Amino acid sequence: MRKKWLSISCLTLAVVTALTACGSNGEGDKSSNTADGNADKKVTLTVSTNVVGEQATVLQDIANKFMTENPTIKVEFSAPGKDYENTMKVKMASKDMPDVFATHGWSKNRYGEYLADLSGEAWAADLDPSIKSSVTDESGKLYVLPMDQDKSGPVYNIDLLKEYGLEVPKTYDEFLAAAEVIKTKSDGKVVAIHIGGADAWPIGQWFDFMATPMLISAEQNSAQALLDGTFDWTKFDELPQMFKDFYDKGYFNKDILTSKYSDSAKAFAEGKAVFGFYGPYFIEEAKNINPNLNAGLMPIPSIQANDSPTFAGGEKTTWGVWKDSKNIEAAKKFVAYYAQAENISGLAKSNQLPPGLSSVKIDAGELTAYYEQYKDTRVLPFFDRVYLPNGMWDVLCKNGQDILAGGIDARQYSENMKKEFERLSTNK
Amino acid sequence: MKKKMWGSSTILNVMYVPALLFFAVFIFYPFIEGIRISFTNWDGYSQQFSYVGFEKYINMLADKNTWTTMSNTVIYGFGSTLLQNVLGLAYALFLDQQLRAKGLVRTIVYLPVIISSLIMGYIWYFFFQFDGGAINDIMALFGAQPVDWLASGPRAVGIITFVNTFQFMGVAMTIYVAGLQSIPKDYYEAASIDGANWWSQFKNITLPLLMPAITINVVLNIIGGLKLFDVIVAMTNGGPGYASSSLSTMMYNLYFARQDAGYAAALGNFMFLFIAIVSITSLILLKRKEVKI
Repeated sequence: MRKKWLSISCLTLAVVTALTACGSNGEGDKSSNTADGNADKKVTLTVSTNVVGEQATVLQDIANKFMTENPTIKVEFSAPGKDYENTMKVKMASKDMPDVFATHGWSKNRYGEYLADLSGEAWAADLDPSIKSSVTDESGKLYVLPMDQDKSGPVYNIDLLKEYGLEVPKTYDEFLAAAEVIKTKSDGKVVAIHIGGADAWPIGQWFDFMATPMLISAEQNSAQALLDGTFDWTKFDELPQMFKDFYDKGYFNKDILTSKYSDSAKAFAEGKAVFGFYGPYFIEEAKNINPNLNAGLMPIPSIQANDSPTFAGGEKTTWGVWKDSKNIEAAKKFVAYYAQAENISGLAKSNQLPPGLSSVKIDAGELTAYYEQYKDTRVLPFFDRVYLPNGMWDVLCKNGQDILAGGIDARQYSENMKKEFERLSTNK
Repeated sequence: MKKKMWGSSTILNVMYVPALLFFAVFIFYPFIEGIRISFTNWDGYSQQFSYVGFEKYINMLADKNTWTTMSNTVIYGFGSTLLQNVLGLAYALFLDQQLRAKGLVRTIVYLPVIISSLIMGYIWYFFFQFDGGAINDIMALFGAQPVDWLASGPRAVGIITFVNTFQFMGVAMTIYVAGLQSIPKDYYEAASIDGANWWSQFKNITLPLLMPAITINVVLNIIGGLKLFDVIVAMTNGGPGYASSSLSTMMYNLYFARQDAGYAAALGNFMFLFIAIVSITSLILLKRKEVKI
């Protein structure tokens, strides 16, 4: 009997010990993370970003320089790529964020409650006015350091446009006319737009671009109705219908449902597609395949009468500081290091985007000329980041696939949007 | 007295504590949490949520995507099981003869098993790709028009089932080879003397004595097929829409992309129940058919 009791006691004790350890809220001993600002002890900063490739290398090089100049701070840098968002969601759920992390367009809506206020930092005074509203709120809280700022629109193959005798389209009607010319003159061998729809997000990108001229940028718009939740979703029907019509007319690649983003880059690089509805980064991607590609950036064409083209803008490469970080001072020092002019300039150049601080001169490589050319074009925030609740992206994407596959029609698309909009808006 | 207290059974009990701990932490605790979350509207990451009763289960039953996904999952589970067992048994019977290239054939059939399912999916994606895919390129040599193989949901489901079968047929084959080797040759000799042909030997000796191998293969294949995830992600990502989605891919999508952790948990619990019922039923039914040598 006693033996049995002893066995049970051992088991219970071991299980309880393990579960207690698992349930710890992280306030236990973290030997390397205790010396906040203390020069005698080494501090380890965990830093995580969504960017990959060349841009991640630039960020890591700056981190290495920072470590050389600050020998008491060790930086553990991670760039998990496409798993970043999911990893961060798990980290948010367990309240265990990296000390410094990237917010990829969601500093306020998704990561806001986890971020420290950076408005007291020296570099905050240099914040570029065009990015300010995206990274600050009414109370003046500054969520992140925007190292660059997005100025995104479709990209196009300059040589192909010339070959077909076309101008950069300013309105959607002009875009449709250009697509017809491309189809006819190339005998269907070149498509107007290539979308890697199997990855789903490229379809969402099309909707995100085109929703702005459809619902936001014109004088008569639905911006306020979307913000206060009174939007009549039948007005949205036109957008998925446009998408479907574009496909039915043969202006998209035939394999839109099964090709991937990498296929889009290949098609654009090889001159099999004239436009890419992705953004400036797409040119870099295609140039890795064909370095001789001659490509340009254009604003999103307008749809409504008397409207003008726009760019989609907002935060792109950012650093935010976890508000509960044990090394908050070291983390702010790390972020301030990136805010130095030479670092901001190098990073913005690698992304081919304008810098986020006005104290730094724009040097976006080959795209500088386009930013100069379109300097007066309006830059409106990405549609989904402002007008849709967090979590709607997948609805845009999956329903986009479904409408092309014939599973739903435009009305059902909007109904599904409405249903999820209401769920996500009232969830909390 | 001291010696008695730390007798052999106590030590044995203490020794299984680590395994029990792993089970408790990584299986039992998440399972209980999954049940709790299914009654909430949690988005999967924020600190606030509310309890919503059976709302997520009601949504799940009313969602047409659940039923498309359910029917796909059944096809992945039962389709793969049928194909893997028929082909695995055929290869095993082929290899149960005196052949020179026996080792080579066994290695070739088993080889795909050691490749990651995700990589296997990408390899086959390049076969079925519309633009530049191997199959369309071969068809073009004969003047045929290219086909967008994975664009139609039902066809994509069939192709994914085939790829899963291709990959794991080797496991079934290996288990059947072992099963066949355990059947005493005397039975066949006696049957031959009595004039039994190949078919009646197969039906009356091989199949009944192979039942333990069939049981293990069927149960393993059903569970594997019903949980299918990697190949789908690599080939179609569950699309178009949810047309080739399985319960696993839909659950992942609901949690991470749709930010509806409550719904994802409800679907996960449904999937657990479904797999448990199917696998336990098939185990019981097949066990009844097993005979002792």
